Amino acid sequence: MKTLTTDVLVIGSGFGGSVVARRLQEEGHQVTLIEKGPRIDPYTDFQQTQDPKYLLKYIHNISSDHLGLTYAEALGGGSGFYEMASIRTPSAVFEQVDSENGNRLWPHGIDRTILDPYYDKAEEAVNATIVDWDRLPRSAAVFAQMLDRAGYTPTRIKHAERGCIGSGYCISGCIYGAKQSMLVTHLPAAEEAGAQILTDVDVRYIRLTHSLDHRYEAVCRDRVSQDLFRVRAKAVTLGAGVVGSAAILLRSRAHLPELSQHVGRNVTTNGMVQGLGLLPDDAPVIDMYAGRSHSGVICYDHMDSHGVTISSCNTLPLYMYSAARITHDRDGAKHWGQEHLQLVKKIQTHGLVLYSLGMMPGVGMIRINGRGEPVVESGNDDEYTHYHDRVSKLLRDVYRRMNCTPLRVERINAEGQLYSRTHISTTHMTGSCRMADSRDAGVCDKNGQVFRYDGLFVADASALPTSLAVNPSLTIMANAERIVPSILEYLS
Amino acid sequence: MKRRTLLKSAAVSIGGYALQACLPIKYVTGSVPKSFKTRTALAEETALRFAVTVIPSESILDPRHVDVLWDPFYGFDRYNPLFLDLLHTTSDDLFGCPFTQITHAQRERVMQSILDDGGIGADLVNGALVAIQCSFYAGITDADTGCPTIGFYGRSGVGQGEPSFVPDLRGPRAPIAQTHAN
Repeated sequence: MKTLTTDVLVIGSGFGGSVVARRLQEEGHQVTLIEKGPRIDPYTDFQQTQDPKYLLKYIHNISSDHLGLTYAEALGGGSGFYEMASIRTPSAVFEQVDSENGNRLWPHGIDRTILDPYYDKAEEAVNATIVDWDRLPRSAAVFAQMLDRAGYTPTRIKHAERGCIGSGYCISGCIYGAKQSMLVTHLPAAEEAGAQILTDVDVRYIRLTHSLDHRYEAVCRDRVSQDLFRVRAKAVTLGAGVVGSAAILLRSRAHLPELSQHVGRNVTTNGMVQGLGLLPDDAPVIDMYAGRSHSGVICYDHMDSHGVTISSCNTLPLYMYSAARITHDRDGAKHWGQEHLQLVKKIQTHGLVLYSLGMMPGVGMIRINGRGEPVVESGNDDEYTHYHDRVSKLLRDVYRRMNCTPLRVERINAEGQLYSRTHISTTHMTGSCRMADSRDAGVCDKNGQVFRYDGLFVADASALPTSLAVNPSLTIMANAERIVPSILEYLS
Repeated sequence: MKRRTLLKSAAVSIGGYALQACLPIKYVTGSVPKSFKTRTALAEETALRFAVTVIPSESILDPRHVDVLWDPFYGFDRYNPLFLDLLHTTSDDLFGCPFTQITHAQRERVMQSILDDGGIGADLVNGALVAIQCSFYAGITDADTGCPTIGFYGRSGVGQGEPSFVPDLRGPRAPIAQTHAN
């Protein structure tokens, strides 16, 4: 088996792994970054299409009765496909407690004020700015105005972009390089500084070596040639995401027996609940399929009462009609036929998508099956149903207060069948290798270092202990920036 | 036992994997007619008649819009022969005519009847209609054109949307705790 040697092995090239790879390489440490998915050139590989044959090359999903986790396997990870929303996590999030023992879920010493300087750094790296209204989709202005009329407060959020033209194909990948994903920010900088990036490589497991210097060894499989090889490193940083990082550690348990029992547990959905309603006929029309997908407007008015934020977004047809059965909210309303077609037409000009993110507890779990591949389990049924029903009711109340007509939205699976139980699907999951004050409560310490395994770090969303109630991308980057000094200290 | 009755009585739970249970049913009831096993003219016509019942628009009457039912990538191709046969069987039960020879209103009745029966038949209809809706509305067969029927103009619509405006925000503002906002 071929063996590569490096100072730092970074596994995964998303928001967390890319930041760590760049910063460490810039500090003079040789970094090898391994990505399971293919290399991507955003200018040539991304396409403006809704064709699932293209999307499913990069976007993957694991699902159970209640929980669906969607993630990317490609260079840049989820950053290539997100909506550029760059939002700092509200302070209240950091004070969430474990309902069983009342202990704070975030490690002591980590809160919003600690992260703020790292948020500054993260925002600078991706050019997160508040753009002018004329560069937002029309639905943003309509949403802001509707909120305002209803007595709520619309707040602007930042987008990570340069020169976005509002094509609306954010989720299929920006062909213009306008989206400030890791592909046009941290990854090129890391390579320019000397980092080695290997793509289409699957890390199977990590084990300890007998070397005092290169303490860790990752056994990898080249997905093209199917050859196995090893990478030996002084330190390893996991940035493979909630699903990927947990899967690697679970497969490594035989070799790293002291890993916490929390690996794979405490998976949160960020409380994602969506609604769809129709604007009143006298409202300004929107254009659902034009403009960047995230409106750039958020409402914090329900953080205290419900623990949620509410935003709006434009949604291209595939993402809408493949995920849910949408009908008028009355008995006998059909999801096909003439009335349904008229509704679909009306959604283009009068549809308002609300999506709520909130402080839902982490009750999901990732484990590995007989083939060593990750599967998700839902955990506590009641938690999902209670949270989903409560927030769905809130969204309907908000629609009505804005004089909008809520529609019935029933989630469907990949075969077009209704889920028989409450189903929450998310791209914002956190928690499967969470930070904690002790090994009894989490997988790694507040500096991202895995308990009992010095030199093994976690730098992605899996380290974040709770739902964030906002898009997690900026927080993942900020947290990665925050733990870089700890990795440097270890290496020194 | 008529195939439709058997499908109605088969108590398969809806839960995301129901369609996979169709496979043994195909053998229990005997093979479906040869004319539905491949994409014959009758099979395609049946699919198009179904599609225009789901989405009553002339623009769906393009064979490309039902490709999804035969494309192995999406997985419905295994069930398609049984599905097409079910439409004809039900039509025959209700109206004594093939599905391709009845009126639009009668096709609606056929579909609704299968859906009301529940079970695997309803799963087949729901699976097929979602596949067709997604294929058509998302402009999968023509990314440049999209689906003008619903106002989605695909790649040709980039930069063509309605202009935005500066919203007229009058307040009153609810005070936001500094901790919440950006």
